[in-house]
Parts: sequence; structure tokens; C-alpha cells
Amino acid sequence: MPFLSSLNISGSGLTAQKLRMDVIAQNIANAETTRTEAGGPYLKKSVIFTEQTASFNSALRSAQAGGVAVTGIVENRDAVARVYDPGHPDADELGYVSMPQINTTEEMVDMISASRSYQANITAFNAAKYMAGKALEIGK
Amino acid sequence: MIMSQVGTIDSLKQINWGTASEAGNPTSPFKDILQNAIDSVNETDAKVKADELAVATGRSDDLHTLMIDAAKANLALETLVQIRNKALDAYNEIMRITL
Repeated sequence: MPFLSSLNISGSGLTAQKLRMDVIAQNIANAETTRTEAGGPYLKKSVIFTEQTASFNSALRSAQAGGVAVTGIVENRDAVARVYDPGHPDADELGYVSMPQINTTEEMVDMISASRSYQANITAFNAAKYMAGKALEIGK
Repeated sequence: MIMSQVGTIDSLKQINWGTASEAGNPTSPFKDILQNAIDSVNETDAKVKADELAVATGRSDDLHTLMIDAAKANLALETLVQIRNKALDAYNEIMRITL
């Protein structure tokens, strides 16, 4: 049904914004992390979104009509700050520690944006559902 | 110029209007429509059940997918009910014919 597949567009937006929210929470949680599995300090992560177009293949399978997809999560290699703290166990011989350069204020603003985008997608979803409900009232 | 316009009307004859026997279809389209609607409702309902189980047992915390699938099942059922109402109205109208 075309109405059901158009609801998937908002659904993909919700999934994408939720992932973005998770990544922002990860950034805030690791704002002071100096050790990672890969070695070195935690690197600020961000999500890359791609538009999903209604391709020939998806049209044949009557699958999703569009929406957004997450291409990947990228790390910002330059987001490292050198902080002088000789007492820190991870300090180098000069007494400097590599800390993640994460601006908590910026992350909070991004979080508000993700939260509002999530709400906007829900509003779009409800509007599409309302339209479908109204369409069923034709000729009542 | 006028004559050429008259001539174009003849092209209508080339259209194959079909005959009554060709139009007669052995399958009943309404039954197919209703069956498709019922299948669609069943499909969306099964999806909601699977989502509910996944969320309830903690295998998934994807709340919005559950709500989206529930909304879809709701819409599909509403569509089926409306189709049924239309069909019943038509049936009742025919049964009301006095002989």
C-alpha cells in the first residue's frame, strides 16, 4: 500500500535521528576519555546521512519510497587537545596529555537539534497517518 | 482544411473497442481485492506481534519501529473495514430490491 510505504520515510528519519542522538551521547560520555581500544584519546564522532531515492529496484519490489540512510559514523582525527597535566598516567615525557577536544555546549546544541528533528519526523508521520485516515472517510 | 479535420474522425474506427465476450473475466476482481486487503492486514499484524515480542523480551529497544508498525496495522485494518462496509452496503442495496 502506498500509504504504508510513505510512512516508512518518516520511520527512516526517526531511526537516523535516534542513531545521531546515540552518537552525541557517546561524545558527551567520552569527553574526558584518554584511552581507547585503538589507542590514544577518544575521537569525536559524527554521523553521515545519505538521501535514499526511490530506485528502480525498490520500485520493483514496491519497497521504501525514499527516506534517509546512515552511510557511516566518522571520527574527527583532529579533535585532540594537548593539556599540560604531568600527574596524569597517560602524560608523555613533557607532561602533556592528549585529551578529546569535545565542546560539550556544541554537543548539547546538536542534541537539541536531533531531538527536534525526531519530533518533526513524528509530526510528519502523524500527518501522513491523518491523511490516510481522512482518505478512508471519502464517501462515508 | 475543414476536409482534413473530418478525415481524422475516421481514425476512431481503428480503436479496438473489444466485445462483451472478451471483457468477461473468469476471476472475480472484488474477491482478489478483499483477499489482498486481508493478506495485508495479516502481514502487518504479524509484524506488530514480532515487534512487541522483541521489545517486551528486551531483544530490541526500537520503540518507534513498534509504534510505526502498530500504526500501519491500524491503517490496514481500517482500510479493510471500510472495504467491507462498502461491499455490505452494495449487497444490502441489491437485497432490498422488491420482486
